Amino acid sequence: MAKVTIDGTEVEVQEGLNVIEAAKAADVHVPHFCYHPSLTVVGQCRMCLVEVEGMPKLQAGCSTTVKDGMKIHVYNDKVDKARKGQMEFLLINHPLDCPICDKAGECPLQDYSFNYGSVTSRYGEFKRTYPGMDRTPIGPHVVQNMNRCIHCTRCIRFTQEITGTSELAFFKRGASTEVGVFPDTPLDNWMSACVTDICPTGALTTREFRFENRVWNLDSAESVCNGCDVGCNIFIGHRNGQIFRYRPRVNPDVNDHWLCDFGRFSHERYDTDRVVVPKVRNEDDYFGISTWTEALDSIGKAVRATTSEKMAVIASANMTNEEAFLARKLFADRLGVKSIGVMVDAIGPIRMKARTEWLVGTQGAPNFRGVERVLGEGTSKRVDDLLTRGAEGIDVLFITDAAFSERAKDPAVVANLRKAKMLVVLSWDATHPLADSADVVLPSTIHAEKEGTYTNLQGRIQRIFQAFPPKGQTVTDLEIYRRIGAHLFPEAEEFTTADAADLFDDMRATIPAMKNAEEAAPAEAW
Amino acid sequence: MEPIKVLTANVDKPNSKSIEVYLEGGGYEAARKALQMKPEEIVQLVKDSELRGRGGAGFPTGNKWGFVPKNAPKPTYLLCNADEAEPGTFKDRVIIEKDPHLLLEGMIIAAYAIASNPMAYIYIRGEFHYGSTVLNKAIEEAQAKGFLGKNIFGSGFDFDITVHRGAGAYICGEETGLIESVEGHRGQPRVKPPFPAVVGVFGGPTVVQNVETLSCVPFIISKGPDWFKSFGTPKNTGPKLYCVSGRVKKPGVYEFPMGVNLKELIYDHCGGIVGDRKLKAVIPGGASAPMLKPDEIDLPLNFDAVMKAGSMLGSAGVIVLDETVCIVDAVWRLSKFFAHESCGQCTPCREGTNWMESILDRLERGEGRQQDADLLLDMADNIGGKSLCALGDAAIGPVISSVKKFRDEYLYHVTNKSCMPGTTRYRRLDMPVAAH
Repeated sequence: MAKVTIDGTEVEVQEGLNVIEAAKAADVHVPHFCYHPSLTVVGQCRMCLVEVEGMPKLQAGCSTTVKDGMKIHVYNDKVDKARKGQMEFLLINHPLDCPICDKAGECPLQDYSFNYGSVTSRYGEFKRTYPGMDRTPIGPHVVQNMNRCIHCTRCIRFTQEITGTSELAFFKRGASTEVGVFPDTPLDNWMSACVTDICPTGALTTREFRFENRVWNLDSAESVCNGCDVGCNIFIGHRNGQIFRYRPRVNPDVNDHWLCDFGRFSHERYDTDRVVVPKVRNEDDYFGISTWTEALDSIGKAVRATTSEKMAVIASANMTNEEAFLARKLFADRLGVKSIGVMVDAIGPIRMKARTEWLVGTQGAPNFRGVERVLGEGTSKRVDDLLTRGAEGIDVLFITDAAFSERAKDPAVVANLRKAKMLVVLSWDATHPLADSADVVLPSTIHAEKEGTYTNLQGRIQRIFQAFPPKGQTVTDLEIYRRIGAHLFPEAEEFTTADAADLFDDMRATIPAMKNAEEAAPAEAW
Repeated sequence: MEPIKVLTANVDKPNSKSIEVYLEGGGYEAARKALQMKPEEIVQLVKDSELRGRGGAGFPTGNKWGFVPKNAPKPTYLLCNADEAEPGTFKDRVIIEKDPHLLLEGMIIAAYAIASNPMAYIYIRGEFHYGSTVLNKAIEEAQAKGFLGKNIFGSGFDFDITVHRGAGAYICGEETGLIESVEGHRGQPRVKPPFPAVVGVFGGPTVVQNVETLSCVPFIISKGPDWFKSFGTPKNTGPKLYCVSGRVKKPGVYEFPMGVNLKELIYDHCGGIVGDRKLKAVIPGGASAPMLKPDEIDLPLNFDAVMKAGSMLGSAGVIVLDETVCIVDAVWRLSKFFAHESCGQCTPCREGTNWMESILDRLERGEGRQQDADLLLDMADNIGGKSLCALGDAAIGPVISSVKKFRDEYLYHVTNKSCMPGTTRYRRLDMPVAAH
């Protein structure tokens, strides 16, 4: 440990830490562009210059490691002058087109220019431009505007050090230095859009989010990506009940600063017609919009007319742990259904770099491990039987999520499931084939509309938060199970409320496999 | 002070680059002697000789060798910096092309002193194509005689040298830029620490030495540090090559004991100014050194005295500007060089050198503004000491000194939109800068 004084505050930090990290301990922010905690230090932007007592020149905070007794000045006149000088150099050739730039509002260059920029410019020459490089798609997701670039090389280092694909490099030199891709090798790797997150300017933006929304108009909710079982921590950027983007949320143990392209753009699946009211098939085989009361009535009628042996439930790996737990209470404990199963699609493998290890996602849903723990191991064979052999002899088949598997879109599989006398489907996707052929469709929610926890491949339990309320007559899945339960068992206590936090505590107390949940969860995510 | 012939002893002999001529003058005897000594003894001798690096910074060579960790897990490298690209400097070229074996012998001794099993490269700038052929020939000759290769002089010391040609970037003459270039990367300096003596080429400890520095080493071994120290003054010892260029009657490479008087050098040894015109300014140490005015040149050309006068000896490339030279034009020419050679990775150098160049260009075109001189000074302050490597500091040297010392000439450009009467622009507009 080293005792260092940063702007008069004495703090004790680990020896060998650089000044930027050490200053965080003293709650002092050192402005920087090229430094990134997960990339190598190059000391190029010169924005993090600090004064170290006893050294004649200003030192770059990123490349200076602290030693015991060091006295560091992050903010004084000398440093301020230097920092303003660097800011001026960065801005003389920057187009200053913030009003039409997608990065505006979350742009380090913009932020620091408010602190260190000058209102007037001393630059009387022509700005350097890169003709033909101002809206260049350099890959399937990334659009480059070289005029905005400040040559920090974060993107270059990302492709070299994190993905190891090295598509980006410096070309030319001096003032005409440009960041670019090699001919015929586009920036096309599985994490390519991460360069837009780490870019401190609007030089790199995603094709998908370009000109979609101003970032200050977006609300942000902490969540977990549901693309695969890695469970990358994300922020959902949303406005008026529409998801505009996913952004990685730093978690060194899972996804560090990164998010894969598949997960990042997986919200595009929600750009579809939503089921917003219950639909019930009546005696005349008319399948039309209905009410919750009618839907619950017809479910109740069918359930009371049969026995538990003739009922089956296909759960989904997209359910939260709490939903799985309440579904178990309803179907297994109350109704006594034996045939409850959950399955998951194999995808990928999708690689994700945590700070210390590579995680490999192989499942196409976020919570197979959690749901399986709640429902019991080895239940996927039951689902497989239903899908391949058909629901012959089953009176009531509950499908808790139409999107439980890609196989559910196969007409043969739909026909097999349709063999059940009564098919109850929860779905958010109105275009899903199962939502067309069911007897009762209940409008369910996407993961941005509900809260709960997912268990990722490390066994880590991570909470998602509700970004915006469900649409139309849609209610959260927990509320759907509660309504069914309350309808069937009016006296039952467990169906009076459906609070995710209460259910989580209850689940931990009841299910042995979930006992260690809190230890596994990162504290800051709670 | 009279010229001497130590480093240049062989260069006037016919076919001086061949090993036979070098051996006639007692060549490779110093290496033979050194390989019977202990490495620590050699380092001590070099320390005693007070030899300072001739590349520009003037760092004590013996100390540099002492920093190399012993028993490092990776091989230790000796790099000879023959990337002599500073405008006004052409001393190493003489040694490389006329007396390559002196350099090779110095490298054998230096390599033996720093590590038991070192690897070595001579990084020669791409434009020195002839120099690289000379060096390769010399290495072949030395290998044939057994001076390079396995078990040199029966001492059990194995050593060989590879010539690595650069691709035309001034920045590769910077220590860490050179290391990157040798590794095959884009030539751009690395952030220090770690210093090359600890982590250098391919992760191994590395010593980078200028050609002239290495060429001094054989004399220290053969004649002793006291003989070496008899040249020059304490802390500034040894023979030194001075390259004089510009408006003098006899430009060229001159060898003197370290510390020849600059005035004497220009007027006595170089024959004075062309056309007996008046002197206007002298750049004493290559393009990056601040200018000296005529009343400041009565000083010994050694590291400390020139530093005291506000300039630097650098690589001892003395550029003489006479009264007909437009200072703004001369500084524009130097700025253009630095803007063109900036590697482009760090902010102040990439943006600042280019900005300075365009301001000076504007002044020369007659579009100068009243505030330009102050702007140049303030901008230079934002570059100096803030850049990643020394190129930023180099680029501001001529600018700051010229604005301070020839401010009237800058203001004349602003008010009269032309050069001062009697001065001319020296622009060869028909010769574009080679695209490299």
